[in-house]
Order: sequence, then C-alpha cells, then structure tokens
Amino acid sequence: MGFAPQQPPPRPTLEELLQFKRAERPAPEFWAEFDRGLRKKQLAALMRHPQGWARIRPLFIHSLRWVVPATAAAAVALVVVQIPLSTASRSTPMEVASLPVRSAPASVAPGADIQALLATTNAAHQSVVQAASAGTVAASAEPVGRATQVASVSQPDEHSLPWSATTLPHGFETSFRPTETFVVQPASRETRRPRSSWNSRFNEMVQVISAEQSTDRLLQLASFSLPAVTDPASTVAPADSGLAAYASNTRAARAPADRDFRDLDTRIGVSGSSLSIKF
Amino acid sequence: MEFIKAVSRMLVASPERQVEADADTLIVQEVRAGNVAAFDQLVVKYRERIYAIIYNLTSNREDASDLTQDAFIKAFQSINRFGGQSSFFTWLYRIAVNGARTHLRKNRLRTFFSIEQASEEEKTPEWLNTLAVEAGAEKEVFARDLRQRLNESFQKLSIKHRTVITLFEIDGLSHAEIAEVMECTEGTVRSRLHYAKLQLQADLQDLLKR
Repeated sequence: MGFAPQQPPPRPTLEELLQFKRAERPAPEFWAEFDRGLRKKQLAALMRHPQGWARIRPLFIHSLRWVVPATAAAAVALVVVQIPLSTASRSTPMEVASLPVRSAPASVAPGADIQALLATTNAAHQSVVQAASAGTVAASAEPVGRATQVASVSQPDEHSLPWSATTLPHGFETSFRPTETFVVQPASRETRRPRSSWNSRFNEMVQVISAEQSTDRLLQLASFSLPAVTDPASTVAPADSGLAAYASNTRAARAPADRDFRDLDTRIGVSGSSLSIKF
Repeated sequence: MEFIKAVSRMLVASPERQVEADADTLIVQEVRAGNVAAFDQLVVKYRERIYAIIYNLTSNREDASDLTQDAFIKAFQSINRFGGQSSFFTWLYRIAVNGARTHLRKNRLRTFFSIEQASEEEKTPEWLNTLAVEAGAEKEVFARDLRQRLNESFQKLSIKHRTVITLFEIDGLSHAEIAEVMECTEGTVRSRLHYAKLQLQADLQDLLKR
C-alpha cells in the first residue's frame, strides 16, 4: 500500500506578502475627497501672506547667500596676507656685534679661586637675562680671562609675550649637557629658524629657566665645603644613642647624606693642574 | 555639469521613466508660465503613488492623506525652485518622503489604521485561503488581520529601512532612483534593503514558507 507524498500547505514568501501589501489601495471615492481637500489647501496657500519673520526671512536667506561666502573669502584673504607679514617681521636678521664663545670645558688653573669662577658664570648669566628682559641688548660681562660675553641686538623683539620677559634675545641659545660645563653660545644667524609659533617661545623660556636652575646648582655645589677626608663611617651615629641611633641606621635617614658625598666626589675632580666640575 | 547630470540621469532611468520625465518637464514649464491648472495633471498622475508611499511609511490613512496633500502644495509653491537636476517625480518623491519622515519623527506613538478596501488582485492568492483555513477565520477577516500584521511589522523597522523597502517593494523604484530620492549611495540602499528584509522575515516567520 503506497502513500502519496503529503504536500505541505502553500505558504507565502516575503515577496508575496509585500505584493499583498502593495495591493492595499483606497476606494475611488476617497480621491474625490482628496481633491477637494487639496483644492482648499492650495487656495489657502495662495491667499496666505507671510507675516513677521516669515516676510523678511527670504530676504535674509537671500542676503546670506552672498554675505557668508564674502566673509569667508575675506577671512581667508586676511590670513593669507597676515602669515607672510608676521613671518617676515620675525625672521628679520639681527645684528650680533661680538660674541666671544667659551666652548671649551671650564677649567680652573691651580690655585685659582673657585668663587671667582662661579662669580664669572653668574655674571654672564645675569647679563644675558637682563639683556633679554630689556629688549635691546647691549650687555657685557667682563669677568676673568676668556669668559667674555658681549651681546648687541639692534632690533627689539616686538612679538614678546607677556610671560616671556626673560626669553633670550635672538641669536642666543643656552645649552647644558650633563658632562660639560656651562656654555653660552650664539647660534649662527644662517641656521637660525624664524620663531613662528608659541611653542618655540615656550621652549626658549624653558631653556632660560633651566639655565637659571643649573647656575643655582653650580653655586650650591661651590659653596658646599669639601671635607678633607670622606669617611663613610663618620656619617653613622654611635650605636648606643637610643632612638637617634635607630633612625640613623635606617636607609631613609642615611642615604641622602651618603649620596651627597658620593655625588660631590664624582662631580668635582682634580686632574693635573685643572679642576673640573661636572653637571 | 548639467550635461553630465542629464546623461547620468538618462543612464540611470529606464526608457519609460525618461519619457515620463520629459512629459513632466513640459507640464512644469507650463505651470511656471502661469498655467496653474496644468499642475492638476501632475496631481492626478502621481497622487496614488505618493499616497501609497506615505501610507506604507505611516500606516495611517488620515495622516497619509494630509501628508500627500501637503507634499503637492509644497511642490506647487516651490515649483520655481525646481532646477531640473533630477526628474520631477524624484523631486516630488523627495518632498513627500522628507515630509513623511519629519511627521514620523514628531509622532512616533501614533496609532495606525489599515485601509479597509483593497484591490481585487490580492483576494485570489492560494496561500491566503490556506492561512485563513489554518487560522479558522473567514478570508476577508483574515486578510484584514494580515494587513494589520504587515503594518505592525513595517512600523517595527526604522524610518530609513521602512522608506527603502517601501520605495523598492511597494512603488517599484530602482536602487539608483531610491538613492536619488534618499540622497545616499546605491550601496547604502542595498544594505538597508537587505537588513529590512531580514528583519521582516524574522518578524513574519510564522506566516512564511519554511
């Protein structure tokens, strides 16, 4: 006895359902009503007069068509004109009359007073800072030996910012390297980039501040009296001094003093006939 | 530039559409020349299609009627601004679809009413009888419930997906024409159409062929 394969009941596809929906249309009488309503609205739209803002809005929008592009074009033109002017004023070459450079590491002859060396460095630094703050620089520092610094800038910096009163004049760069001595050297005018951004101004200010801090460190180091013999044992407190002994034995209490002495020992060295100070 | 646009329009549109567009352009020129009554020809020509689109977007016959009238009024008022970059029917569709979408954004929670009367062709499919028997209901009652169900499924789609599937499946526009109406790319239209169909299939799974 054979069974005929049972056919599944026909079911629609999505397209057939959408076709069914497409056939959904209003009755013909609907369109008569629709036309009447449309005619009324059309007449109302023709009779309606714009009032208030609606009346002037077309004029305003029409004028905006010209005002907005014209303003944008003027702004672009202003920027285009302004950029070459500002670049030209910033990149005007400056006159550096004379600027002897001390590029060699600082060395002190045997017997020379270290205080004199520090005074020389400080004076040079002060002169540079004063020259920068005055705008027109005509400063000279004539300390000992070759450490002579004279700067002359003919044109004041017109673009100084309020907070950059201590910036260096054009032509100067201050650089400190860890193993070298304090050097103030002029940058060559040919390789000098025009300062065209606030960021470069900020970097120069940071350089001046770091120069000041380094000079202060130099003074602190020089004013520190070197012990004749650096004895680590002498830094340890006696063992029988109670709480003080406990505190001195702790790493926190002992470490700074030892490090100071080690630093001094490694930074200041005497080789042959010269004294060198490392930063 | 105008030449390029005209050529691209000719390439995109079918020959029938092109003939239609040329006839519309002539009527538009008449209206612009002062023959306001000529606009009625455009109304009669497009009212059913515009109404069908808006009805399938809103699923509300009263709103669809009002929005269709508003679309024609707006087109009439701004017919001088119709530049001819696109065909008139694309421009009119854009006005209608944008109006419907604005309305839908403002009235998200509006209830919908299906159209009671339908054309004769949809009463004949075999599957409708089968489903009505399965449901144990009369065919007319089941057909009304089915329309309601389809409207509910359409309303679950996002406005963009609903617009795409309405223009493609209900009005029969091509991908390029839908892209022109909706001001997007053809790829976007295809993608939206695909996801809209997937969502409808998931929602109407119990009715569809397995």
